[in-house]
Amino acid sequence: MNKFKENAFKSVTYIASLFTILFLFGIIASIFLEGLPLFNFVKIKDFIFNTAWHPTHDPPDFGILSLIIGSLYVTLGALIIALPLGLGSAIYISEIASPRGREILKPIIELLAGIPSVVYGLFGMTFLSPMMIKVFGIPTGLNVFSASIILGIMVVPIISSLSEDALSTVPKNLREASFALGANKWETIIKVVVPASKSGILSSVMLGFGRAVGETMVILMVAGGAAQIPSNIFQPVRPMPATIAAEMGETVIGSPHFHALFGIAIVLFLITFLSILITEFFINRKKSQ
Amino acid sequence: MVNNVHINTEKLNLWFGDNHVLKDVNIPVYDKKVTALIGPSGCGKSTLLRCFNRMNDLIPETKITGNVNLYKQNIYEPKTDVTSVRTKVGMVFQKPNPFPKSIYKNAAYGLNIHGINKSKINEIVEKSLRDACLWDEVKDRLHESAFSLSGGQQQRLCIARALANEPEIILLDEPTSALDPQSTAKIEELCLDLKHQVTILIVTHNIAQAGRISDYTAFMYLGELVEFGETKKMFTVPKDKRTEAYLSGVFG
Repeated sequence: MNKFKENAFKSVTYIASLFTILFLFGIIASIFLEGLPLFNFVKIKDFIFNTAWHPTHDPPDFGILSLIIGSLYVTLGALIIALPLGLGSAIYISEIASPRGREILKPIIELLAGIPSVVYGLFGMTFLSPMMIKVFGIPTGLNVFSASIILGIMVVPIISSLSEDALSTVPKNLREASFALGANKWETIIKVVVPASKSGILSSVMLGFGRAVGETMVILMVAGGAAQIPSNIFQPVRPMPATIAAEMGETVIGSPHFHALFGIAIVLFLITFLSILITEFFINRKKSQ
Repeated sequence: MVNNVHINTEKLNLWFGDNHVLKDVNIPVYDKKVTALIGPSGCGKSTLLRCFNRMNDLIPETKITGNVNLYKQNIYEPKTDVTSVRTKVGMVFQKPNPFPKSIYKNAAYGLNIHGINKSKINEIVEKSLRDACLWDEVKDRLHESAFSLSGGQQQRLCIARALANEPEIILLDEPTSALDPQSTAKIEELCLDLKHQVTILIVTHNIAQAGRISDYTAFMYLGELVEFGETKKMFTVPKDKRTEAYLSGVFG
């Protein structure tokens, strides 16, 4: 009887894990199945390197370079904002805060991760954007800068909590060695603790990148939606996820435009896939050290 | 033979929370001698060692009364610069703990912290690696990771790292307990060489080791300093019954 239970348990968990793999491959297959037909109409090179995105013109233009660049701009902007805030708070929580301070701060930062992205979007539209217009005297507050700020705030908890894990696993004896050589707390953090957790911090940044590049709702609401290569950070852009979300409802199933949106999904998938591979690489490198 | 007291404790008491770990310890450590701290596990010998460079400050809820005098200057006075104490009083730990950096950067760590200029650093790094008898083994691979060294080499690197600060005193906390006999012998030899430059205080579990390398021995039991004296005398005619019992292996 026990043997039966054990086998049943084994098969249930096995099937559960099989399903997750099945879903993953199902999704990958479907985006490639619907995306690849696009290249009957457009060359891959033109799709990636052409800057004109006019899917409803006659004849239509399916160049997504401005969308890719829009995505990279807001994502890099988000990381520039999130890295110092995330790493700074991780250092504070792990190295400096009292146990009580840590107990208060950690859940608050994790709470930040629990806010639905549409709420972030609302905040961006109704508070941040009008403020931008007032402060900088620009025609629109929905632009690269605003989107970067909001996305950055969303990425902070990812970088903060993963970096904090990495920092706190640095063995005590390394800190002691540093103190015993006459280093103060600050020198110990900067010269020993942070370098020793370098790979953990890098992988937190890569995960943050993956989160930011795929985020849709905030981008749709705050980035402005203009398919152009911006000449400065106060211009609106139309990143890839926002394009898919905004246009999918209005396109005819099976049309070139429909396939082009799946083509964008392929590009997005490849970018996030690459960022996960890089993260894994950092984590494995740390293990083998 | 004139012995100058280099560092000593006066009525040193230490508590971790409610746990009274060191009780009225008065111990002199003589200049340019090797002093061994021996005693059974949990007797407080490591804790006492860590009082000499204020490493116990890092443990929360530690309370200390009494004095630790480095050349008659109490290092527990409020205005003491702890980092300068730790520069003068170096420490080597039980388990080799090199930083995840290159061999060179490990040896240069203290010097970088104290803002010594680059050309001087090269010179001192070489000298301290030589003093730690490691130079010949690593001179061709100074920029490889310290983790590429064997355990014994790593421990000698940790000694070199401490020596680079040009300390007056080196505290060794059971430095050979994680090493094989050959590496242990090398480190013991090193201690005997180094006592011409620095004062050495070593905690050891190994009574024979204390006998081989130390000039003075302190026997601790349950947080008290039971007996202190010249190693030769103590090992032949211990004054206290407990010392005799410990040295003859009745308990340990």
